[in-house]
Amino acid sequence: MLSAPHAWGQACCAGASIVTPGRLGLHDFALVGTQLHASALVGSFDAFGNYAPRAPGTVEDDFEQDFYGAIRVFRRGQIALLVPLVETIRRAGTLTDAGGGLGDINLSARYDFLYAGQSRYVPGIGLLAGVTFPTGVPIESASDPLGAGATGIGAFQFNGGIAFEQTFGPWLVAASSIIAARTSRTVGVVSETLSPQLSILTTVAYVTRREIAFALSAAVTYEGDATINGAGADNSERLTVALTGGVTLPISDTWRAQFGLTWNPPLAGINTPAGAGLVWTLVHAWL
Amino acid sequence: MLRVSLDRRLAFAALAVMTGLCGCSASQPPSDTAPTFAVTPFGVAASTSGAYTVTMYGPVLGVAQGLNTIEIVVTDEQTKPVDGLTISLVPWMPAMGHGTSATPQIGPQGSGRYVASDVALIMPGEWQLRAALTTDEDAVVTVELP
Repeated sequence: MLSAPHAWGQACCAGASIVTPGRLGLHDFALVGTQLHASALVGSFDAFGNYAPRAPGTVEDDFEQDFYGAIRVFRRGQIALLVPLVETIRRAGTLTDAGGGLGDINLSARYDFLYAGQSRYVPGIGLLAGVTFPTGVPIESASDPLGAGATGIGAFQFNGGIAFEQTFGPWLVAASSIIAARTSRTVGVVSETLSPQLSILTTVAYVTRREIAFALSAAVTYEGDATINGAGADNSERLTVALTGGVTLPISDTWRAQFGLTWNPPLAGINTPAGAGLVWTLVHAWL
Repeated sequence: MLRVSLDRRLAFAALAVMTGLCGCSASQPPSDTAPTFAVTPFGVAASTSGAYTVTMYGPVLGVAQGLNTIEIVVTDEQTKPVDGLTISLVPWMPAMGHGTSATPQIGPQGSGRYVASDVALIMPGEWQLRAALTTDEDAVVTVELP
């Protein structure tokens, strides 16, 4: 039987997981899960938005295993912890390097003032917050020349956002906006502060009578020019567009699995790599 | 081994600055014994106060992802070559906010020329090559990797 409240959580987990990676469903008390990512670089956008395929002789394959848990702290609140392991294989010319390890750990929280479907006219509203700790290895500290051993950005990242979602029968429509601020980094003679980053994520999901949820998500992320040694760094703005398609399969009342495809279409982007990848998620929840 | 004289290189550099052409071109045959560099510089920049001009030449086949060896030519305001500097070079990716794991090794070659090896440009995109000439003088050359 279709369980709409359960489906809301599944659909949102399939897409709106930037700040709250392991989101609790309406009736979940806690969950643990793992998410496996594998992606390959296929091209990149330059500072003027021009797309170029990956250069001949170069390879970048990225892998990540996220382990996360979430627990309800108030009736409408939840906190989540995500611990990533990151691996990279990079080849350029005659060099091939591989490396990896613990990435940047993320702690996040979500508070839902109103759930989707509670009101016919007012969508569900949730506040999002998170912090990412620089527990990974920044690229300058990697031991290999191609930096494949890098697993983190080397800075704290603080996130805040707002999420809206509403159900229309078996359909769920969600949109969230998140702003992220990164702390400054100083490496040798270079001190850089990245501009605040704005992300907008939209998701449309459909839930079948067998509680199988299909979700399509589009995420647009933009940040302005960075600041280096106190001066603006021209042409350092970034724009990334990512599309995700996924399906959630309920294994039992407490287990669910998700499969997804991610893609950066070669249509829009600035100063960003473009790739394609697979995502596999397994979640166990306690009701 | 074919090498182009410094004067000819500086003439090309001046032409590149005047015309805005700072791309790489291949006009020299490769050598098995020592790195050779493109005739046309991939970037030219004035130092902080304008006292120095830094001109960078990439490999004959162009600067590419991976480890590069590049030549740095430093001249003063009278376009005379400047020797005796202890140059450090930091590759930096402004849009991503990171540098590299490899530290470029720089050796003086005389006549204002310095050769930097292990210049790791590990991913596509715009890179800054930030050359510190003295404690107060640095110059930033930009190169775009597809």
